[in-house]
Amino acid sequence: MQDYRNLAAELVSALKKQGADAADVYIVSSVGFNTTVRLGKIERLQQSISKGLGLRVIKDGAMANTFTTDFADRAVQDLARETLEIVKVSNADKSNGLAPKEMLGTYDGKLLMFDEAIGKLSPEKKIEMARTAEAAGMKIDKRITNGRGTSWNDSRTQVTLSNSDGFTGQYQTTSASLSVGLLAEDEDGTKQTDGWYTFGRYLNKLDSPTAVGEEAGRRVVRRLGGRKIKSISVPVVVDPQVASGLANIVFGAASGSRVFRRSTFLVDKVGQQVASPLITIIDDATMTDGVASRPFDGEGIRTSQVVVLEKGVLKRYLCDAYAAKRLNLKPTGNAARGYQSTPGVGSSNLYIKNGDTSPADMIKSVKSGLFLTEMFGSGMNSVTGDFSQGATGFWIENGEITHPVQEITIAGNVMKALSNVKAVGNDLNFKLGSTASPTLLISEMTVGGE
Amino acid sequence: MKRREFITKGSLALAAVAASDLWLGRAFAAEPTMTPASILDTYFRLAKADLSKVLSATLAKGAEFADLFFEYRISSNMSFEEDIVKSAQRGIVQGVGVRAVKGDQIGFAFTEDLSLPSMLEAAGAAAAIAADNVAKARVVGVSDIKVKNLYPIAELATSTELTKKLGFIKEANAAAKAHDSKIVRVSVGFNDEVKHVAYANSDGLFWEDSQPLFMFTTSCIAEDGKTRETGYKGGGGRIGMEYFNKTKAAEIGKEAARIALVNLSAQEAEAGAQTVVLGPAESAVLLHEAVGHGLEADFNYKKLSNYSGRVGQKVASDQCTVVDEGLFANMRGTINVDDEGNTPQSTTLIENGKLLGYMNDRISAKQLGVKPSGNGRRQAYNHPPMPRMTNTYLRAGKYSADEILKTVKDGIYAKGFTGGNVDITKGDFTFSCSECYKIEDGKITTPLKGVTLVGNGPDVMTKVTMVGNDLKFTDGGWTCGKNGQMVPVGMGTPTVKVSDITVGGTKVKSQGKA
Repeated sequence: MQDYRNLAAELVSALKKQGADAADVYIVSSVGFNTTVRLGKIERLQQSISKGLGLRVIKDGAMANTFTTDFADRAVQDLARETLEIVKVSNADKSNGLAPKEMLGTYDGKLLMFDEAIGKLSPEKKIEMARTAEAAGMKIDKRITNGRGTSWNDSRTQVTLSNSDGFTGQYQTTSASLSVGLLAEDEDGTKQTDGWYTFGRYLNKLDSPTAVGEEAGRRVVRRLGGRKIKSISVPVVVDPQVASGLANIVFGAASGSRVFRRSTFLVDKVGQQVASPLITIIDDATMTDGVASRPFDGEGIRTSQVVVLEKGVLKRYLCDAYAAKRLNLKPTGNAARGYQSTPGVGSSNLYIKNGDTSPADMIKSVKSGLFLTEMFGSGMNSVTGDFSQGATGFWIENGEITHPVQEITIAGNVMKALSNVKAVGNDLNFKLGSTASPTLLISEMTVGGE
Repeated sequence: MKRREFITKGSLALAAVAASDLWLGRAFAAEPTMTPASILDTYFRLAKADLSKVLSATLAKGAEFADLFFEYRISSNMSFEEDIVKSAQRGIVQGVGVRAVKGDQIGFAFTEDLSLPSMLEAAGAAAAIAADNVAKARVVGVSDIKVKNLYPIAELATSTELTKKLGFIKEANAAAKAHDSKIVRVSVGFNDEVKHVAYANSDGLFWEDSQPLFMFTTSCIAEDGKTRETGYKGGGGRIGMEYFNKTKAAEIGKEAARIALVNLSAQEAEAGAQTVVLGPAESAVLLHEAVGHGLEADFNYKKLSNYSGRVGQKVASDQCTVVDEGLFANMRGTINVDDEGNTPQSTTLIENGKLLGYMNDRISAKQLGVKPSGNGRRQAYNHPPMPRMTNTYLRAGKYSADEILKTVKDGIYAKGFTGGNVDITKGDFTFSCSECYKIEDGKITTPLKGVTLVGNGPDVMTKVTMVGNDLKFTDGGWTCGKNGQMVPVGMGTPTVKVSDITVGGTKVKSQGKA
């Protein structure tokens, strides 16, 4: 992949020369491949080569940014000039600025971000893996009658950042994923779909195509025979995918950019017990084989491990440079960015720390309750923490899963739910993405049904 | 892991970034009009002969169809918060998507580099889908087709002076703040873009289109010492600055403030099945989720939709006639031509409860042996097209909103929504309210905390017992997501009564056993 460090650094000095007080340039380039197979037939083969460049300028306290996908000399020079025109219409804000100089740098520990093996895979091999996975899933049960598509995706991405305080950095990452979507049909013709996937930066960290397909098959079949239930308040066992969503909500609510706007339920809560003492939430961009690890953040800050919640106590707000200045805090290395946007607060490898209860024991401990496997919809009020969402799961009676449930809602308040966590599972893993959690047991939630 | 189709509005939906044509004016000083003489020449510096070469290369391995989609998008965004312009942004994204089709198989590649060698490389990658490797030399010539002009613009937002835009922003900001002292925070966004498209395919068809899109939004936070709540209002379409002749910026600001205050006083809702009256316009989210996605033909020829194989059957109550129509002037989901050269139409999907047909793109139409309905849409050059909605609506019925409300003793009135989603195979959908009230003895009373409604598409559509005579289209910026692609859509509905639907609340009405 072309090295863009010189282009970025030269643009920064050109912007300075033209009158910018501070500037940075962020370039993302990537190469990707996708193939989708359905019922054994190739449905799509896709290749992408993509790049984009973003400029940010601060002048007289005001900020502007521009971006382009055209890297031709003339186009980029024009854009630089125009950025300095645009900034004139923006207003001064004393919190605008680059990240503190002393925090700039590159994490020098080992981060396994780039797997040569992915680039060496032939398209034929990728198609074969997708076919194998789908076939393995279809074989699980004769009620699986159709495929929604099985996709292999891989990409190689390079991030380049240069700023006018002398920071220039670049890193490359790879990622690959395999996802299987299947359809199963009841005797009465009711159809259900579900699927499974595996995701990682290294080929050898992925689950095998057969394992992914079989798990997809098990998951779609177990949904058959789903029914509605009556509205009720019961204990809920929350599966890792849904629980990781809770970690995400807490992270968002603790974002400095929301705190200074007072648009979060965690305003003025640092140092307070906001969740069960069983809950510890960590964001760690320096995890050795983390799928979202990075040596520096979107503003060039050297990354580190950040504790968000420790034993239920809110430890800090997560900040990029702007939010940090607004709140008189230090940035936490959580500046997220794309070439089209200015920095904002975002997570890296975010997780709820492992507990010591096995998920099976949690289910056994419930007399009558819900095993929650899916929540969906936009019914999440991030200002109050109140939520009301569609859900599916399984009914638990006397410690045993009895039948799938569907067309239900789950409503409540995120912090109340996290305060009511009675047990934390020992099943944390990062195979499904950068936000992860073990299984959780919540003492009571409101389930809406018939 | 499950895929769900969804719809959303607001900040998520802002189709990127846009800009004032302070820059547009600078970059393209010689081009004050909406449609330049030739998009292909002006933005891509290409000739039709180049397109023929790339198309031929895309067909070289035996594909039966090929197309090229060139896009040059200028976008701008101004965000205003704490009484100042916080940031100004402008962006240019250009690229070409190359597609080869064989049956329902797609080879696709894209590049931002519009040099002939790069495009030929992309063509080679896309061509690989036709695996027979038999070189079938085919010369492709392209000639123009005329497209409609459904988005006439008096004053393109991207060509308007920034100070004029700021004037509208300040108007909305002041109106929101003045509405009530409990409004503690206001932010206003002005987003616009213009997407210049040039398209050619192996049937010899060539067209160009310039697609404007405009969004003006206000969000507020209200605080009363105990709680905080938000309110949001947006408006726009494929329209220019003349939007403000009809809708005052101050009204948008004031409406956002009003919603925030309503939510501040909202009570907890009861969970369980209830009678729901859906207000006009925004409640069309229900149609979009319960019916719309399930009637996109790709899901149907693959037999993945719960509406598969049901053409001619009763799928809704007699009162329901559902139409998708990309033809309304200046509406957000309107298109002059779809993204593979077919003309948008008025497609009646359901008539008096009976399913008539699906929304098709080129591939699905061929699979089903019907004509394309002009619903082949794509987010951008870097995605292939698929069947998508344009403006979807429920035809007006005979009842007045009052008559409908009067029939409800105890129920819920849902007025505003933040979004929804659906599992198209099972038909189960969810949609979330941003403004909703109790109905007691036929009257709208206490506001309720944002509730979620869940149900099953065909099941709920048969429970539509009254359809109002007050059909209205949303002005808001709705964006629909499917398989990772976002496209702007419009929608509309009159007031509708649904006899029973599951409401997600925090209170349990009566303790029941499962």
